[in-house]
Amino acid sequence: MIKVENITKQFGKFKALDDVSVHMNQGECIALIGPNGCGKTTLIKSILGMVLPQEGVILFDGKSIKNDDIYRNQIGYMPQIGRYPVNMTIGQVITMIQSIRNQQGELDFDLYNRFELDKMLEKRMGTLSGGTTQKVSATLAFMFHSKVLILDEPTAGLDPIASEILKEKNH
Amino acid sequence: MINVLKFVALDILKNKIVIAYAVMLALFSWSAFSLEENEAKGLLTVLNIVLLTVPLVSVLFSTIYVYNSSEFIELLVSHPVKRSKIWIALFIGLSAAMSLAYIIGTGIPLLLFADFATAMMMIVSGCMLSMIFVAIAFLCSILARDKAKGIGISIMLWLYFALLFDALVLFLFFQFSEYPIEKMVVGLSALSPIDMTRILILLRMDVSAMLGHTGAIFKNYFGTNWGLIFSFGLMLVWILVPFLISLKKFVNRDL
Repeated sequence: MIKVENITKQFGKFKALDDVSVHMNQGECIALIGPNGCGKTTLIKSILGMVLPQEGVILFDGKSIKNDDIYRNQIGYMPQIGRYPVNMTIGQVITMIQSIRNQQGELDFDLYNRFELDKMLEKRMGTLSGGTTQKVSATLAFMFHSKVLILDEPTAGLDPIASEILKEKNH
Repeated sequence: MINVLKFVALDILKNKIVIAYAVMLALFSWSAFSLEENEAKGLLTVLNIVLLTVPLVSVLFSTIYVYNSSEFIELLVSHPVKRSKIWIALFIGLSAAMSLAYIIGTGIPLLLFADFATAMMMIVSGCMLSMIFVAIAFLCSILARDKAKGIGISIMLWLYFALLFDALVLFLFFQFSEYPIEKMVVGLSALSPIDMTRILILLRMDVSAMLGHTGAIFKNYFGTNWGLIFSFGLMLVWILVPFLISLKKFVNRDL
């Protein structure tokens, strides 16, 4: 499903990814493990097209992701540190992403309900704690029944209960 | 893209600085026209104010706005939205907001006090001037990752176009006053959008005699319809070139 072939990414003098190749198939659950700063997030961001590698190709369903954006319709992404427009409220962010995704059919409001986001729709993103921001990120990642879920350190910053809910959701 | 533009527009409309900018322009323009009994004098005062404030506010506000949108951009790129669309939506949103503030602030008094053709000319060129400096702001904000540095570059560019460029042209003028450099000065004025706007309006107002011999040359070049089309074409180039460079850089950038 996702094929990463020989990608190399260099930030200035620092080589974050050096000739990395990974094949990921549908139905698989893959964990990327490694010390801090070893390039896990860089690899994830490359797959999402946020970081552009100098060499190598990334194929999604056999098609190169270069200059493409439609494939991201099938990805739910939860960033390690979610950065959101500080002046928008939780409700506005969720509505905005829904209207951009413009997905037909039922959306997944499971996490939305279990994290009780409906009680704080009016809160501005800038005033949220790290954990609440993560809850919003997780809700958005799971909302669209995406074929691929990319979770970057999903439970970091979440309280034990929320983290259990998320783990349960992953099963 | 319209989807993205909607959210950008909503966000800018909520911004109090744009409203304050429109009110400030309105205050200046209304007072300039009501203080001077002569319509042409009032127009000149408004022109001078517009040529200083419109570029400054457009470039500064847009630079800061683009830096503050980094979260918005980051949020959208992980979803199925083309990067170029985000950048274009931001540009259209900011250009429209700046132009609208200008039309409300200066355009209305212009239409009421000045004759229609001159007012329209000044409204169109003022809107284009706003867009040019929004485009320059986009270029500044893509050149430097650091916000303070980017704002610094944009202020320097404004200073250059609004003040330094004139000084340089004046310096050349005096240094080479023995030589027939009038034609060269016509060419030089194309290098600064602010000067081009000033010349266009002055010619329109028939006060080009104040510019002496050079004024006559300007009139020959810019006074004709072709000159008008040419200078608006040049202003369009001034909008497109900085913006397209920034767009290209943005599409190939790591976020």
